[in-house]
Amino acid sequence: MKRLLVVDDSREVRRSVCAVLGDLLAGVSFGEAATATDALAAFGRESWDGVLLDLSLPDRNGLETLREMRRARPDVPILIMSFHPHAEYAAAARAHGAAGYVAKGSSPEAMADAVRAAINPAAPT
Amino acid sequence: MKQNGSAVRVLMVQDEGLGHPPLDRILGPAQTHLVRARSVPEARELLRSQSFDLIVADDSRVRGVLDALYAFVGLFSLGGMVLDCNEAPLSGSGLARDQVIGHRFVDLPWFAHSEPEQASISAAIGAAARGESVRLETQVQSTPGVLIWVDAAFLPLRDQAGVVTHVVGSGVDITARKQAQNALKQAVSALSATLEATADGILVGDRNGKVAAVNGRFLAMWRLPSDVGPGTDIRTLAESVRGQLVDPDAFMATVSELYGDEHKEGFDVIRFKDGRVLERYSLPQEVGGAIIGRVCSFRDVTQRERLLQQAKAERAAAETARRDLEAVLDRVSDGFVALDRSWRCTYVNTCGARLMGRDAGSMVGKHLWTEFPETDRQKFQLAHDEAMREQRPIQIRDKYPPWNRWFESRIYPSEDGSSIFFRDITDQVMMEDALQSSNDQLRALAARLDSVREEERQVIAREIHDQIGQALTALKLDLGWLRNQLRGHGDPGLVKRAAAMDGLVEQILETARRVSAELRPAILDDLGLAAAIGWQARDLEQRTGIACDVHLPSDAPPIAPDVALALFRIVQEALTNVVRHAAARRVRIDLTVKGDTALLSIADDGRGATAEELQRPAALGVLGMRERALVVGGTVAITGSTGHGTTVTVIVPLPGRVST
Repeated sequence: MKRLLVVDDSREVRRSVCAVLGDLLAGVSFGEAATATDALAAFGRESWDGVLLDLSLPDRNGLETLREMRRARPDVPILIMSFHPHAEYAAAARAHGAAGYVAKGSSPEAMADAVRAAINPAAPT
Repeated sequence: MKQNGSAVRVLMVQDEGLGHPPLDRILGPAQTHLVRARSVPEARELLRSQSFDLIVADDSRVRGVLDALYAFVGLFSLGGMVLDCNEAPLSGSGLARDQVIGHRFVDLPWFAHSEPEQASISAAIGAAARGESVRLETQVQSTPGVLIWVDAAFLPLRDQAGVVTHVVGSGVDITARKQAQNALKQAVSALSATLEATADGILVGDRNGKVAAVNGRFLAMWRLPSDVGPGTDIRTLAESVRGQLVDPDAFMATVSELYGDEHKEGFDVIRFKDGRVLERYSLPQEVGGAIIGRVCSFRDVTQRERLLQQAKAERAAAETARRDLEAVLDRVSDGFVALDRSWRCTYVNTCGARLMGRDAGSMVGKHLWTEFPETDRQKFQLAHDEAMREQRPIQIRDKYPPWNRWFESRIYPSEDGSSIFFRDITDQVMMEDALQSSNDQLRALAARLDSVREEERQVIAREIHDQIGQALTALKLDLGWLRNQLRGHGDPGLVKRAAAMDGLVEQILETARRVSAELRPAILDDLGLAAAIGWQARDLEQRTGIACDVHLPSDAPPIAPDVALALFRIVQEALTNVVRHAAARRVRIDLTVKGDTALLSIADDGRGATAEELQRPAALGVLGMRERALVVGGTVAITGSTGHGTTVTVIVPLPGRVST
């Protein structure tokens, strides 16, 4: 069972992401964090196979959080999620070590494909 | 030769009271001047000091007197042979008596030097033999090679019947007198030459009011004929020239005064009707303490008078000009002070004196720094020195602390000092300060309003993201899930309806993104200025087709949020202007960070903004860019070249590093 940490300050977004990805990704369980602080605490405390990280967090810049996670666990793939589908975000995410970039508003399939490519979970049956 | 009109000088040596032989029988009708000596020594003394033509003495005295004479006295035959002579001249010449007595007088060594002299003496003796009294001056060789001048006289000696039987000859050494005469003649000649050479007219008068001498210049000055000279009556002469004069009565009065008092000295100026002017100096002439006449010198000062009058007129004109200038300066509303090169006041106008709080007259001659020691001497003096050195006007404004007043001065240099116009600009400075303060307040207010607006925009953009964006994101995901579920259940209508809903949500989501980005691009806060500029440029390309070349630092250093926001808004405004006005095909954006300064330039290849367009009151976008830069301590320069595009250059300081 793969564990994916979903970090977003919106409860609705977290619920929707977990529901959609849970439906499309078999063998993946989900954890949630609403702030960068909670995310870093959970990341350090537990073992994760991947992180889906919102760039706009209320307490800290998403890229800083990304860098810190990468420093702590460089083996854990981290995907950046953002409201703004700008190429600059994707480039910046990759430049900071992100495994991928997902625009909020992408289709569930696109999001699932991105997560799958990052953590390589088993395909849904 | 006979000397016309001269009396025969006779020395009579005899006791007093005795008569004398009838001289007319001896001398004929010649006039005589008789001098008596009572003894031979007395006669000798007289002979030393005077010359005589004839000496009469009784037998006992004659020989003694004769032999004592330094003069020659001789008795000749009618043929000129020397029958007797006195001893003194023989011994003086070194001749023995037998070398002289019995010889012709003219054949003696005394006349061997000159045949003309021999002939002259011979003729004189011949005339005396015929009864004439002859007196002449002749040169005699007293000793070989030594010539002396002799005053010679040859008189007939008659017997009782009046027949000339012998000739009496006498000769007195007048060499000294001759030399004196020559010297006097030379002196007189030199004096005459001097008188003629001088530029002054000279009139020498004797004690009798007659002309003793005049020079040619005098005659020319007074337009007198050349025959005016010694002997002319001076008063008569004066009467003849008075008609030439402006004030003849005054002239004649002075003449009377001068010649009425022999001791008087005088100086006056004589003006002629024809414009000439003479100065007359008159002094008594003294010789040996006795006044012998008067000397008047006349100097033509016409040219000098003319120049003096001209100078006087020029001075008067200059004075008039000066007064006119002062009148003009006094009417100007600015203060005016003229300084010489030593910083002393040469003139202050009324306004200037009032501004200085001084009396205008009292300032003249005063030293500026002594009067106003609290002046910022260095600043004013530097400006003054620059004006004097470069000979160009300099303007400065400065505060005078003792009065708490501001003055604006304009310094105009000249060769002999400077002219300074100055005015009290305290009210103007206060208004400027008030205006500046007001501008600062307005600027601060505008900055505050802009900051508040930015905050509001940021809040709204944040709300859109947090509330609308997040909700739409969740809704879109849920719709996606729903579509997947509906596909699985095979109702195409529902799937289609879900797809439409998904599309609508996508539109709303896109609108939310756009509005949010327009209000406050999150990329600026999330990724930094360089990424934001890159995004803005790419957006411009996609919207307008204008190509954007963006040159951004690869590792952009942290920039403070307010500076980053200001620069980003300036980029937005500049790109908006490019789209609206430039008609450009290409834009280049450069961002450079060097040390503590950021340099941003936005250059297009459009039609080029003109200076007039940039300075129009309606050019609020330009004003906005300048104000944004000003708020963060930066500057904006906008240059345009017609047909060659416009460039916006922004320079801002970077006070600190902020991590993004």
